[in-house]
Amino acid sequence: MTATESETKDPRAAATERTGLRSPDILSTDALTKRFGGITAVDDVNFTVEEGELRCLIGPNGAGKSTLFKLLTGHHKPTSGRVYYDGDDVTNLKPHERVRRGMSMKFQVPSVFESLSVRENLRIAIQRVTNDVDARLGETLEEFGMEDKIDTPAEDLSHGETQVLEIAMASALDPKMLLLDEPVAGMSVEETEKVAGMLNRLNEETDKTFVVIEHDIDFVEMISDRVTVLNQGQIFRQDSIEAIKNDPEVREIYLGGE
Amino acid sequence: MGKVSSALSRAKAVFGALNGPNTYGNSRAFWVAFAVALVGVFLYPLVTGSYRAGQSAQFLLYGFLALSLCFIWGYCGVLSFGQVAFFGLAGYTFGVVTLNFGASSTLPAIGASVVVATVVALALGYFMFYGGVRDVYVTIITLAFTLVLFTFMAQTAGSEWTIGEAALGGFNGMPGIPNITVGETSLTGESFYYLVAGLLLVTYLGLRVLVNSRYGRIMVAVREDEDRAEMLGYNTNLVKLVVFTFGGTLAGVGGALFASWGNYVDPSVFELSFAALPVVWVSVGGRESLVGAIAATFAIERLSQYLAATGSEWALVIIGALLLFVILFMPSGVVPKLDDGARFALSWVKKKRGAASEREVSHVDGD
Repeated sequence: MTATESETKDPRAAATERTGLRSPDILSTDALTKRFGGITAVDDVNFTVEEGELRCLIGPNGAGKSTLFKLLTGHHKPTSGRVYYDGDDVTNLKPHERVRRGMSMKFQVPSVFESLSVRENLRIAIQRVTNDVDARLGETLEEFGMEDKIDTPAEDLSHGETQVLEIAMASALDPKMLLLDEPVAGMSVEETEKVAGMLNRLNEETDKTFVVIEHDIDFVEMISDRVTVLNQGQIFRQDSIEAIKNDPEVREIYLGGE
Repeated sequence: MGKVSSALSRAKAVFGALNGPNTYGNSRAFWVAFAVALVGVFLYPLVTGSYRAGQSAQFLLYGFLALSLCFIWGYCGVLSFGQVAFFGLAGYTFGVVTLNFGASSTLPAIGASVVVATVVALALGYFMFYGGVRDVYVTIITLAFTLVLFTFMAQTAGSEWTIGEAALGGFNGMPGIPNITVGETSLTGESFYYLVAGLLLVTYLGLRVLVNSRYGRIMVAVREDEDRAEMLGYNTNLVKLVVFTFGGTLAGVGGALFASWGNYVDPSVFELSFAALPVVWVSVGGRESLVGAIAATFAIERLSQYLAATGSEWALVIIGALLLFVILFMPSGVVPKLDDGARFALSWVKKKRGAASEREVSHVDGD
């Protein structure tokens, strides 16, 4: 299915109108393509995520994961193709507009407000979505086990704690969907397990959707059952984690890409 | 009883709004010192006499210029070299309006000056921030804007550059601008001093409430990490535009007061040497300290005037050496350094007291 450039309406939204049934997809892309000069980083990707899913997106280095991520967040403009979110075409929306529609995002390099305390970091996030800042602040601190760090400047946190704080900030916005780019990069094994538990709990207890870009297969196994493999800018496989792990071709590209 | 307690709790809420993590000086000790300083400011004309007080009002009205830069640079991370442009444009506007409509028009003229400064800041800010200009390029563009205004105003000597009765006057500037007049009273000397001091006090307290409010928190977020703030759903371009525009408003208030203070305005307000002054004041006082910006402005300008008046050839060297010292040894400014020192001393005292007795030490710091 290829959409023409003039077609701006989500075909799924149109189908919803016709049938009265809501599509289960919260995020989808339609022939999404991004070229940098002569290099096609993301090539005609049709990618859908159902509401409430925890989907991992894996692939070897240079597969186009981060470019696809930035197309989803709005940090890159696609060369062609569309991005649909929650029934709307969001291709032309800026990152902050997408965030305001309930799409939270976290990039690979941890970025928090370093000179501010954990409390101020969280408040900045929380005050955008609720007036009852203190109540939500308390809940978030408890949920992510950061009560004893409340007055610590973010620059004094360990790498793992910084990552957790950033996930806490993304989650405090009460988003419908979280886009996470390598949330456990550079973490110790214990920290990785802690974050895996945190994501699983958030995903089970709430109806939030997660799209996690990940390099580490072990971590993917801890959190996700459905995995999309990206290779050379295209979707290579989409299957359960067991099938992916035992797929010789996936092993091949992973080894070849290293 | 109920009335008293509700009034008390309201006063507490107002006072609470003044304090927060975004301002230096939230303790009771700070406010006591602040009250003492206020009394000093109030008594100053009684000690020095009306004329000297009127002269000193210049340093206070420069405080608006300092606050405008402190607000946008210290709290939103936008370093503008062009705050004097809005200051100067407001001064010229005040001159043009009052020279045409006389002393009775001085109050509306202040309004007109502030509006002009605000609108120009809004327009310049819109093209910069929505044009994707960031960081040091904002500094360069605002500086260039100021210098272009200087060149423009310097060539307005001809009679074609006359607006109604008011001749812009090129290098010679616009003389004969009237004092601010309220009713029949022309404010000069100590009455002008009290006007400026009162306005500055209200502005300072208002800015404190603003930077400690939710919006202040968003400003600080943009200062700390613009991309991060955007990913939390904030429209950072809009935040910077609003803050920059309001900075223009503050500088405009100072500019109108300046023109009426000296009864005169000329293109030197757009000069590079003047454009650099706010950056110096705010760097010395502490970018993130509103009170530091005002105090440093007063101290530096008072000192440089004293050195110049005593005929010291070393005036510029002494000021320069002072600045160098501050920037080398207190890169975040004097007030943050003092605050660090006070915190250190307090914790040391607490430790001492804690070691001396088992009793719980009362909470000393109001923060």
